[in-house]
Amino acid sequence: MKKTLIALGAVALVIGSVWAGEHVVVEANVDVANNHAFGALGSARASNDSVADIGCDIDTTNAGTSIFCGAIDATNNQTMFCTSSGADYIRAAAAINGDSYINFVPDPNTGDCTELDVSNWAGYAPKQ
Amino acid sequence: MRRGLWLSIGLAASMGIAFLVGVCFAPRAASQPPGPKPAAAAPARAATVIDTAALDDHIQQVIRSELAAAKAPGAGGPPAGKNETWTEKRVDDPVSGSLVAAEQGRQIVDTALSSHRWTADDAARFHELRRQMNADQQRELLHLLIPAINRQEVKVDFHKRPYF
Repeated sequence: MKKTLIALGAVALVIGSVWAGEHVVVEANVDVANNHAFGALGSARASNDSVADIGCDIDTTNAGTSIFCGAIDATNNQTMFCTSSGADYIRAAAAINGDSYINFVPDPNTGDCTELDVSNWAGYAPKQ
Repeated sequence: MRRGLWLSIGLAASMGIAFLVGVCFAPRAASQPPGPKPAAAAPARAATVIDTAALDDHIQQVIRSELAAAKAPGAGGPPAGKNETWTEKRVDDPVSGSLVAAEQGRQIVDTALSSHRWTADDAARFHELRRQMNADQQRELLHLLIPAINRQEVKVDFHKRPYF
């Protein structure tokens, strides 16, 4: 009975810490081996160094609209980018805000984005 | 006998009426001497006159707009008293301008690939040139540069946007 109460208390503590406003910190990560980059904009902004960065630009020229997503991993001093002019990718990039977590995958041969995930969960540390 | 007389009179009257109708309604060309058929040429000539007028009007409009563009500030025409080369003039043309930009962009990318560095100056110059390139030209150069950066063969040695 006592063990059950302790276990329930631990679970409640964990759930409470996650859902009661705790900010998940995911700094800009470049994973060269697995060919993707990810991180939360707020975490990268709040990073102690001035190097870490992650996000996407939406760039419009006479030739059309493209996105450029990039991540700079301060820990490993590595950089990764992808670009796309696909409408779905442009829409996804437009959904990014200061609280977003993003993950992108470039084509290793062209650098074109083959995946762009945008999460706008409250748990990610907001950009400050 | 009497019936035959009336038939002759009727026949003569019919021929007379036919003659008069023919004189009144026959095309005038029929009375002209043989040769090229002016009756057929006349409508064509009339149509040509209308087309020429429209064409003249169109040409005048084009000339007016081209002259106005040439006089506009920042237009491609050489400034007064300045000896501008043909190459400089051609850069203002969108097509040849994009070719020049693509060539200059390629030089920047080639230098980055050989030096293994993508500098803030490279990015700024490339960004400016990219705006003059068409989509295919941009894609071609980015397909060379971005994979090399992602393989960490070219190091980005600055931290400010735009990167490309």
